[in-house]
Amino acid sequence: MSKGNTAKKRKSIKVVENEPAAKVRRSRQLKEEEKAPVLAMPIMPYDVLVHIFSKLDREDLDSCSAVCKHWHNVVEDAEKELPKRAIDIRFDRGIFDSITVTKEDSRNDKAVRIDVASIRKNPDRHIFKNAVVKCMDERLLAGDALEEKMKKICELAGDRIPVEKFHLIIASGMSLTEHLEKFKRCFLLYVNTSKLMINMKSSMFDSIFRYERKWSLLEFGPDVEVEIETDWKFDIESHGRHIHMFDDLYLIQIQSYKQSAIESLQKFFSCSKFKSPNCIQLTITVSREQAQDIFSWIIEGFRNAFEPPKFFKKLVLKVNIEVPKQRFGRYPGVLEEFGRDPSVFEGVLPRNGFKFSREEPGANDMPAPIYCLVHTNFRNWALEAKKLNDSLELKLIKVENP
Amino acid sequence: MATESANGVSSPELNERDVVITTNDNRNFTVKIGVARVSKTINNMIQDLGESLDLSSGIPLPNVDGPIFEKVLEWCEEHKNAPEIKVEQDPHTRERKWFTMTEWEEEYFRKFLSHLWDLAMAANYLEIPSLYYYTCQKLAERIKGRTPEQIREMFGIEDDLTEEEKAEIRRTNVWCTY
Repeated sequence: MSKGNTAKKRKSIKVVENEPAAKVRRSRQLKEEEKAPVLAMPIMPYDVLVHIFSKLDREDLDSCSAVCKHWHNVVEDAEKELPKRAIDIRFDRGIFDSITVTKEDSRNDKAVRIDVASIRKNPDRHIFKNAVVKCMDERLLAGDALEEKMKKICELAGDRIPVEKFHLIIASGMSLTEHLEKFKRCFLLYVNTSKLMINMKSSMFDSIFRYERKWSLLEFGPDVEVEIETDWKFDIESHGRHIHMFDDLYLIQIQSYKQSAIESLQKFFSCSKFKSPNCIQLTITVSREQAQDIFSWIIEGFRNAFEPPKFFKKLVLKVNIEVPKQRFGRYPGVLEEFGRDPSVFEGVLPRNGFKFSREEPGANDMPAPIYCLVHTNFRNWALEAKKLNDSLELKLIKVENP
Repeated sequence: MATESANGVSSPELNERDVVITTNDNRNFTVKIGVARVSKTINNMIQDLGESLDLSSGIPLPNVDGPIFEKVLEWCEEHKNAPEIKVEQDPHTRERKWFTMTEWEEEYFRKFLSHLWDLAMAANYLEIPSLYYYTCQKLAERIKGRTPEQIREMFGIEDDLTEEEKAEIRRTNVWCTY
């Protein structure tokens, strides 16, 4: 390195001597032909170069590193303070049992596939050099292969895999509990993240949320903020036949479903079975037809909660507009009504013991009206509802003066 | 005359007074103190000298030459009342956020494009954060998206890496695209 430096100095001094005349010529040239100018570089102190480099991403730093010995050394030595490369990790299953690592880059997408079988022979640590995992995906399909792969990545990365956001997509309901348990163990052991996003389908949400003993599957300790996204639809069937909502049977069948759903919801709200609930947001997408029902169940579940609710900090109810609107206006979408007239909101409220107040917009620059629903028994707890463009946001809040 | 108490250093009247600054090529610059102290280095000198500061005999700057100091002063004049700039970075990739420059600043760098390195060095020595950070950003802008070959050509850097070393760099970096 010292040899490289002296060579550099000698050269730079020469450049400085020639400077003034050359510079004038160069700047004139530049104006004439808008080309990248030759900016002769003097001996640059380490700090200045590092400061310039800290503005660049890893792609550019790769280029800088191959410019000359001096720059190469600066990039290597300042490794700890220079920007890191953002990569994504995906597990591939099926014929190619591998891990795909993708680089996030606007210029050229590049993916490197790590063949699980060949990792043992040819470990390439460089994939994770100066990298930070922006997103990691797991589809929860084959539980056994997961642990092996996570372990491999950990070995390559040299530590628990640092991940900005982990994305878990629960794609199959087959032996869901078993897979989720396995996943949870691997996740806590090998992944270092504070954000876990879980996506699931209605049937899976239903099968977890309706059984208390499964709720612990959604708990990942106090250090991991969990965000859950699901849709929720209930199918009303009788003797294997789907019953349309304008059928008389529908009203009868829905009662039994409703009863159990509200019971589950109120327990879910109370979350007596949770040890350290840390769900920052639960987003539920419902169809336009079922929005009104589900919304009123949630409110009833909240009302009946026998402990101050604590599971989620925010619940977002989205109405899926993909579903064509029924000709029958029996179950109008909650949202339109909700915004127009608060009495509709009152209409879905259970009658006894609820205080309903409306805060006018403008209080804290919120253009949307905010509705506040205070709990009967725990009067310092309230459900705050805010209408957003395409969704309804419910937040559990503490009320100062009930 | 001369003396100004150290306590009075931040007074508005003092900012209107002139101070003489001598660059390493023996050029004297008469500068308003309010402008000169955009440089923390000069500001510290003024403060350290305190009682003994002789405004007429001046402050020597052994590491800056006249032509560059002239350009630096132009910046200081424009930025004498500018607030401190904040350096922000992406919490995960650590990449520093890019500053948005004013039309004046853009024009300034267009004008002195071929002096970016000297400005960066001078701003670093004189401790003028705004000029230093912005010049570095301008240099980073020149580097961005260019190949090693283009960078060498632009900055007149000699390629002193051997083929073996280049092969090694390529080998240890799977994401390398050249």
